[in-house]
Amino acid sequence: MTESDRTVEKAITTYCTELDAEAELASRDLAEIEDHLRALIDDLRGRGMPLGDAIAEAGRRLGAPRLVAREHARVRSPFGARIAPWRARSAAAIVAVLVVVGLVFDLPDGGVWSRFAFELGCGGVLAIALLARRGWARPILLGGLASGVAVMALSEWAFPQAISPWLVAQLGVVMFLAPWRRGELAPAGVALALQVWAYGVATFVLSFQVTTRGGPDLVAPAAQIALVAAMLATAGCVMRARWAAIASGLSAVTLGVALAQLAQLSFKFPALHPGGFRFGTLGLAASGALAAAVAAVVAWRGARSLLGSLRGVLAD
Amino acid sequence: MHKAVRQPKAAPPERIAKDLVAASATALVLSILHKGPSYGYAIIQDVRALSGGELEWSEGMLYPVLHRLEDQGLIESYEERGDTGRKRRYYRLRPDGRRALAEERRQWDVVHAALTKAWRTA
Repeated sequence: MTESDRTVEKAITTYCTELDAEAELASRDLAEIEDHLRALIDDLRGRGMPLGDAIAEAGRRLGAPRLVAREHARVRSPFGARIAPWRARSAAAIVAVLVVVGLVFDLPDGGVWSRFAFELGCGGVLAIALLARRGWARPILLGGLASGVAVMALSEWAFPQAISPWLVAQLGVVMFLAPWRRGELAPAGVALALQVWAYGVATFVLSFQVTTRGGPDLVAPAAQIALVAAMLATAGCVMRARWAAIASGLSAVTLGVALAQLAQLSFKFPALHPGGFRFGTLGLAASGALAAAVAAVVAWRGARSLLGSLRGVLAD
Repeated sequence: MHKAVRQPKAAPPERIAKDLVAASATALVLSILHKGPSYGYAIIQDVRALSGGELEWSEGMLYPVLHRLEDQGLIESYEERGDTGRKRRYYRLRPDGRRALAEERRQWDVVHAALTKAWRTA
């Protein structure tokens, strides 16, 4: 790399850092601006403009980072790019069907005041939010349903049973919502998806119970704290609050403890692949702890204020 | 005594007003992409060439326009390696974008025809 190349790269980095500080652009959006600056500087230099002048002129033509960032913020959610309307509608339609099926067939068994009912309610709200193009709906659904798919896939692989239509439907939604292109989700969106993944893992860990004379006991009771902390952290991430990072950190630590508690289980299940099921279960628990830890760091860095704000929830 | 009459200076041709530039952005971007996929810098160059340099965009403002059109499902983007070997994001028109372009064109034709008539009779 020549000295002039280094100067150009430094100027581009400075511009993009200022831009990112103002609007938290997704990495693919930043890469696009970088590409533009590079092409423009090359073009100006090709026409004989000295390096320093070409850099200054390119910055002028692109516009002040603060103004460009403001325009970006108008169309881009802080959680990342919005998906195309047909993808949002397809995903929302499947989620709506899942919610209706859950309400009709499964809610009577679970009860209105159950976690299942809460998740069905969230599903309904998220389907509407997705249709209304709220930026936070996509990462929440993505993290929640991706963890659901992972758990169901593991269970169906380990235990002999027919492939569940829930698994197929949830996988369909994940396909519609997945960030197929690198950098599609902004850091706040990544934190949100990871946090909800941790929530899904916590619910999975809580499903491990041993029945004693006193009734069913949780194998990993620490996951209860992880579950509540993950719910709070998710709400805090949507509000861009710094306290979300603390809740997220708590869910990471308690999922780590739950992992240790789960590891003591003998795993004498009548599974097709008992060793694989143990490995998969502990792996999922570890992924939840790791996801929550990463989400804590990202949420801390990306927080807008200590308490956050509800304003962005409806208007992002 | 006659008071000296101050002659107005010949005003230099002004740049196209910002509002007009903003209003025409969607139609221009869709029209350029109608000819084939393109990327940000090339779109800016096309706008400049098409307007004979009269339409001067603040180049950073193009991307929010592109992202808005993408959010609306009128265009879609994909990455491809450019001639420099770096990955570059290209945009292309979607079927909804073609329909939107037809409507934009109809509306601009109406505005153009109305102004032409008005100035002819003025």
